[in-house]
Amino acid sequence: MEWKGFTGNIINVNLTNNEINLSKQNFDDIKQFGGGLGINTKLAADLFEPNIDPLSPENHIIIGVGPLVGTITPGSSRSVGTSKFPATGAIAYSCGSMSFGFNLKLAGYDNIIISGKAEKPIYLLIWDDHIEICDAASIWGKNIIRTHDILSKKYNSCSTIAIGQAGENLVYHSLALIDRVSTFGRGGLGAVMGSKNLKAIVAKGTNSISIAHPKEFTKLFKRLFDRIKNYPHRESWHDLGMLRSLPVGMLFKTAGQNQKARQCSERVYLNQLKKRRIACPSCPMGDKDILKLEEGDSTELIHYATSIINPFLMFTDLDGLNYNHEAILAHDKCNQYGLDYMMVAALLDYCTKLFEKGILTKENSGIEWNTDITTLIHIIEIITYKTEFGELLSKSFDNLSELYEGTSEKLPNVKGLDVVFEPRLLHLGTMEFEQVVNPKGSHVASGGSPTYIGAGSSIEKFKSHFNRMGIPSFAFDNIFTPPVAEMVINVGRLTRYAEDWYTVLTSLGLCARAQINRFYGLESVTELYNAITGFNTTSDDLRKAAERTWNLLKLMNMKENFSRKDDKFPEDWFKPLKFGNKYFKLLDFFGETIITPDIANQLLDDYYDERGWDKITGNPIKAKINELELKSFI
Amino acid sequence: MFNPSKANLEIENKYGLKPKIIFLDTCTNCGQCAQHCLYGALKIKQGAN
Repeated sequence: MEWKGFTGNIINVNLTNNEINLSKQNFDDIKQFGGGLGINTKLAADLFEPNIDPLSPENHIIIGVGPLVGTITPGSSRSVGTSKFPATGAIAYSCGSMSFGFNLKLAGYDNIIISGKAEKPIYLLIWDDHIEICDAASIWGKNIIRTHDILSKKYNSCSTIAIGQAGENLVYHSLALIDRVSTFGRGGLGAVMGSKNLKAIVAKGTNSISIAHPKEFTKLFKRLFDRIKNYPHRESWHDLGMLRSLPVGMLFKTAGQNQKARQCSERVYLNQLKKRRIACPSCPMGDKDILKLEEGDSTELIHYATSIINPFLMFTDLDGLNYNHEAILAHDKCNQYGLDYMMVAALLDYCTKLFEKGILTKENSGIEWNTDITTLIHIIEIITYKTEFGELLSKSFDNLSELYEGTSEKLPNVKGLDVVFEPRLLHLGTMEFEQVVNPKGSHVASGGSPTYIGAGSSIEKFKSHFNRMGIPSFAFDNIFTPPVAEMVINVGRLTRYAEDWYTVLTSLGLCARAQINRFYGLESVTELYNAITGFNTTSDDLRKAAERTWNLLKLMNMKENFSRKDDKFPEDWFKPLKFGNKYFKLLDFFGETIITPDIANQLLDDYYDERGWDKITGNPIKAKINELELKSFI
Repeated sequence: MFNPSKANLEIENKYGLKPKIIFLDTCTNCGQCAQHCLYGALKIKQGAN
């Protein structure tokens, strides 16, 4: 059949045998799961044997891009990576953007499946129909920025997914970067690539994407483009990027941390740090940052960041970090090595607390723990190269358990990943709650809804967003029935639909960030999908495909022995958080009700109930599995 | 059919430097690129061809 939107092609690479072959997409699978995250999950379910070692040749890396990627649909540049992640042991996904997906599609492929292990360091080159396993001896040991620049120069401004020294050294909290900017693979995708001796994947595409109904697509595109063009806040997004949605300076001001508030202010960002904004292909908002930093008398550090808020957020964990140039330097170091900066900051904060209590000492750890820049840079080095105490910190939380001896204090985490959205500061919206139930553990962005940092606080606004996200109206009553009436919203129930909406966007290749996602609704993405692919898919079909994908992901992780016991609110969340000179408690989205362990448990019950899952095990029940035609995956 | 490699302009984007926009000989001055540039990087100059 002739594919439109999709290319219909999958690249299969076995690094052990040096074999490359192409296979065709299965049309029924695409109809059942959609592209991107959906088809990645289906391919993973077919491939993965349960309980394999994530760093063994038996693990796979599946890269997938959705049908809208490669067209000019605004914000359609997402790539999805599926693998078994060493930091959590879950089979899960991670998303990134920039131009990799775009190039892969234009080269003629929807998916890459990488299996086995190369004998020596290699990189995978995909340039249209030329696919080759190349010797990476000359770039192994180099940081990500350098690696990208070498490959980009060699292959005419290609796109890269590359790892740094942390991935090469199999650090569990290593990740890859796409085009040296976009983080890809929190939870250890960098280490999985390293375990396969895979330094980078290079994509360069010069072909065309064919769409089924160009006139219809042009009409839909124009409607969308005009809305975005006339969006009154577009220019302030261009000015401020992610600082517009998360004004970090104000967060510090609320906590009485005036110096940090100044360091992260809009004024300082615009006048001292911002060099310019960059965007993924087709993105009308451009939230990636290039920062400039004066070092010493004349040297200028140019730093590429997924967003300016990433280095700024290091301040939240680290009291001893006072100046933005310190945060940017440390963030830059993490990016060069391919290390998860959030995890590093959380580990330093945690170890410093243990040091203050006398549990960690200079003698038993070799470090005088402090949350200042010197210690931060030191631990980035020792984790990356797994030297001294860094060997222990480079592993999963299970390996860190010996640190807990003698203390009741634990590093707040879900399934081995440190908390990204701190609900004691941000209140318990779906983004915060979703960290608890996500199969992978705490990470960014799978639970977006109108509860995202105060947006849409009136009931009417909520309903309007619910309609946009395709939440069926019969679910509204349940969503507006929380465990305690004053909470108004039941985030447990709403999270199920937030995940489904996220899955729709991610399966099509669309950005899930609020500033893009707000222009889309289930109906409009269905129209685009049909115009591009030529299918006659209904909105209900897309919603069902998303639900099927999420259930299949859960079933795979059920085989990895995950269950309700792992969907656990960190104990610390029920204790006040000292931030600046104030204490913050875990409150509901509207900040009216204290979330107790009983309420948290009820919200979990409600989440499973809304999903049609068993409340005791937290896993899909037979009726749901049959309804979604997933019986063959049990 | 979408194919950026057939575009009539190129961006030279060297590390750390301001990107440079190069119009190729195939450019017909139709102005479509400027109309669709939301960042203000491409603008139609009044009175220009």
